[in-house]
Amino acid sequence: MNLSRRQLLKTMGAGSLGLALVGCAAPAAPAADGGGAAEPSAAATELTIWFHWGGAAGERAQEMIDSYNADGGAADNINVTIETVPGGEYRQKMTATRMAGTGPDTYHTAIPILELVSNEVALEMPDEDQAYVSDNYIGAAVDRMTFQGKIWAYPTEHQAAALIYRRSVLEEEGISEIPETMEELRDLAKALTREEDGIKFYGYTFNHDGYQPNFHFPGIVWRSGGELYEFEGDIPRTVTVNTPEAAFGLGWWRGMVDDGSTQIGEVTYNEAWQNGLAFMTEIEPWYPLIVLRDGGAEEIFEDLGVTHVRGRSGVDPTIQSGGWEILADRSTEHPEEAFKFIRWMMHGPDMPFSRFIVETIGSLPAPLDYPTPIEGWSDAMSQGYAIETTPITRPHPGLKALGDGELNQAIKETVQAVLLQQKDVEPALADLEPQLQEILDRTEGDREF
Amino acid sequence: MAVASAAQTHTTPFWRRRSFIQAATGWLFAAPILIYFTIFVFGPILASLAMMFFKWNGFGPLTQAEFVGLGNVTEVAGDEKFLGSFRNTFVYAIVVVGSGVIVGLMLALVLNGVTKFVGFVRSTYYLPVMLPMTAMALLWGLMFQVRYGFLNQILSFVNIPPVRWLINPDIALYSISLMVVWKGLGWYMVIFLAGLKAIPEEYYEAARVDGATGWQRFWKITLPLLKPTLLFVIVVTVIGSLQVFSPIFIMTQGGPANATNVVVYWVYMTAFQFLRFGYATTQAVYLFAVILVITVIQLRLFREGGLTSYY
Repeated sequence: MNLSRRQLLKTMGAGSLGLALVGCAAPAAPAADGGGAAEPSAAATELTIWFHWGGAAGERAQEMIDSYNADGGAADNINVTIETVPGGEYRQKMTATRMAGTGPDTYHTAIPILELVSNEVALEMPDEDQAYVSDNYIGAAVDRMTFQGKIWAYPTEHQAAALIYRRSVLEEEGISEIPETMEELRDLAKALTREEDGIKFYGYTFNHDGYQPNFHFPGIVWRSGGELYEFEGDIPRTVTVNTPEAAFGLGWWRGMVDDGSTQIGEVTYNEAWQNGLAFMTEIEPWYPLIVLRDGGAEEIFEDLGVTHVRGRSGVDPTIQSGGWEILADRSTEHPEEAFKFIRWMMHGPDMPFSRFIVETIGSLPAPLDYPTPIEGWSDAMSQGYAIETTPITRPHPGLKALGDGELNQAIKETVQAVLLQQKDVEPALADLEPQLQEILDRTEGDREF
Repeated sequence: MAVASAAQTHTTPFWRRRSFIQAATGWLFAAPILIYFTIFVFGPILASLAMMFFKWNGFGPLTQAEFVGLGNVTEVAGDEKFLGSFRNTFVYAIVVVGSGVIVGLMLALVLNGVTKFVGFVRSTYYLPVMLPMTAMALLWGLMFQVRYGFLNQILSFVNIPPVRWLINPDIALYSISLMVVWKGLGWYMVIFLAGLKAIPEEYYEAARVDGATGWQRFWKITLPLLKPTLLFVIVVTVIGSLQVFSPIFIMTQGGPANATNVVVYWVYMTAFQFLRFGYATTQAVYLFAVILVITVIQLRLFREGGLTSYY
């Protein structure tokens, strides 16, 4: 068939118009036979929540939300849907969906409260929720949720490291208890390090290229008697890492490298533990649960002893904590329903979300009345993490700084350079301090308390 | 008659004139791609250029964006970490492009003479090109492991001590370059083979008759006639190398101690980890300008070398 140009134009025009009409048409009405039996009733309030889990954890999370929809949700006529967003894409997707008016009603997120409030994301919690969090959660978790005197979210994960060790290895050496100070711990690591049949076993292990160099750095400085920043109210103003205390802490890490007691790249951290080459380390509870118990190293998991981290002689042990929180979006059209849903997940005695996080994902319990021993954990984990470590936690100071990402990067580069023996401890800290101060000055600027 | 025709032209509405219909038809066919480019290419480019002059964290409302004039432009110019990432990127590009061109050309010359199992041999070399970079980076990450890695196991057979491929800041960038060259070798080979096949056999026959050695034939015939192919390969791979991101992101995250920090990775960090979108956009524009300059220089160099005669 031959079409003239004019006919072709007419045909294309008519086609485009037709397509446009089809595209603009109202969606088809639901089937009259009620094919969506699982659909909520017309009057139910629809809420969305962002989670980042896939796989088995994602399925467990879905079960929890299904349970809410059938229980509390049904009673309050609320139906919740999960939207899965990778953790690393939260910020970008938050920006895009909020601009488009399609943001979720509630989030489970690790973005610091300071950022969520400054960027007009977090919805202020009702007084009763603020009071509940204040009365029922441990101090460090409440502190992490607090900005400008208000509590903005419910803390969920409360991640902090404890000292884990292989009980059988220490028993072989005739050691029944872990020493009380960092100095003694370094000596023990050296004593435990050995080589058998060409295979090296490490007294202590570090992860030099993960999140630990920057996330664990404040804790190690605190436990050495120092501080990272001086605060003015909520705001970090002055960097204080070029100090003898910080040098002691970083020097303790470096000393393990110089002693040959730790692996820096010879084998990965996970391989060292999964293959029984490592005897001690500091790590959060998700690690033994997910990497060892669920990662095929059950024997090692069963052999683990757990206790709180050690401090320098004469300094109380303290450990940094971070984690996630659950909150409502400022642009939600259903704030009351959003907080009803959050309360169902977070309030005791059932606190299904806290139980899911602690038992499945592996974090310190942030609610004060969380029952111990913890289901699914070994007795050693319950004792070392939940009972000993929870009370000695402090929020990571970076969570109170607007330039957290840059500060972490600068710290990571410095710690890496020291652990890789590229730089000595004191000069590295002397270089680091002005870098951190420049970032603080630039990012905090004229922020007022 | 001419008067009548002129009168008709004046009386016909413009939308019924042939010239209008022809033009409209053309625009209609081009409309989808023009709309696509306007929304997804030109729009973002203009937005990026505008973003250079603002301070915005990419997270809060756009109303929070603060106009900083040329502040980002001047700050980037003196940013030591950004300049350091440029140094690393140039080293990476030189190593990857240089090795890829030399080894790829050698491989093509060898395979050009192969007469048996040609398809199998070429497919084998080309296979890594088709595999995703993410999978390859993860796999090579395992091969690079110090104690149990495949490469150090091989070296141990000849009593070479373990190499800290991705741990030693002095060699980490070269280790990644090794993986990238291996992965891209098949692509270099295919392009060079196509170039070699296009050289008329008569030139070589005449050279042989004149008593030219193999080396002379390569320098006097093969290489000059491969110049267009070389230009294409070098321009494309230099641009690609200056934009390297995936293997760095997967294998080293810019470490150890910043040794593999390259420009695009640093732009990503600045935007999405440090939340400095305006500043990151400025860095990206700097990278664009550098790539543009290098590409123009490359084109000129080859043109001066007689390239234009082949186009």
